[in-house]
Amino acid sequence: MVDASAQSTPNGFIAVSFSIDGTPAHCDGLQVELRLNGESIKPKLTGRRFEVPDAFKGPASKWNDSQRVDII
Amino acid sequence: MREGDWQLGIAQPLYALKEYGYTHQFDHGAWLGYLIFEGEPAVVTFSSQPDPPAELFDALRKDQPNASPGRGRDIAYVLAVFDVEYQKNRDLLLLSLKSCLSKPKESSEDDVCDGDLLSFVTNLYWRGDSALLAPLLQIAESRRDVIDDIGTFYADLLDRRGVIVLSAMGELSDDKQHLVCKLADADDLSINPPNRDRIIAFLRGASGAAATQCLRAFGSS
Repeated sequence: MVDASAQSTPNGFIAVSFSIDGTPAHCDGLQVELRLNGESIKPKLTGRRFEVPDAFKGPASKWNDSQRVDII
Repeated sequence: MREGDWQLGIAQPLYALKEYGYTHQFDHGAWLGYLIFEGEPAVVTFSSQPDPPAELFDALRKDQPNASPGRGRDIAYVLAVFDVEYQKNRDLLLLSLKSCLSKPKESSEDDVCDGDLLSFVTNLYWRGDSALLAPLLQIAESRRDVIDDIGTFYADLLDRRGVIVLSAMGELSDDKQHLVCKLADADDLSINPPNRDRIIAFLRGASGAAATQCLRAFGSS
């Protein structure tokens, strides 16, 4: 679980890599699921990056410190 | 990696403990899942993962008999985490720890007697091996070459298992009780005022020689 304002990205995408014991490794079928305010959000994955869902777009200032996101 | 990137991964027990140090999330499970958010500051989150791959057991068990002392120690820890021949492997680790502490301080460095060894044994305690508490309290001393930051473990014990640790400390001499708490303060609580205040409040409400010795060690008697 992380602070909702901890991440932002300038181009609308977040690059994701996978590693085993710190060494980059290939991973088929990587999936990311986010949960915000009880709502499940599955970002669209394209190659090694996923599109930032609309719910997370906008300036970091719109989040307060107590908001949290579960990453599943 | 650029700022904003995510790094997902899994860590075997050895890598998890050596790379990330102690995390509560590794008090159970066989693997540690991690998610690193690159940035300033970077954010790292962990989750415990069950079920290690079975083929790893066999490879480690085959390696163990002919491994160097250091590698043998590491394998014993991993196998203990995987619950493979648990008693044998945890005994090996505990024996190594006692053996390291019995060596003269000026002994040459080796790949067994370092801070990782203590991390392995304390991790097995947090994983549920309650019988390790007594020997972990008995080894309280200022051997920084072997038990680098054992005070951090003692501080964690006082914070998370205060009643249990005070009871167990009843078996120690007054001097040793005092030392346990002195180390907890020096290694952790002195730079962690909220935890220190919480533990002192707990000790003031507790009774017994161990609580008294701890309060003295904290300068709060």
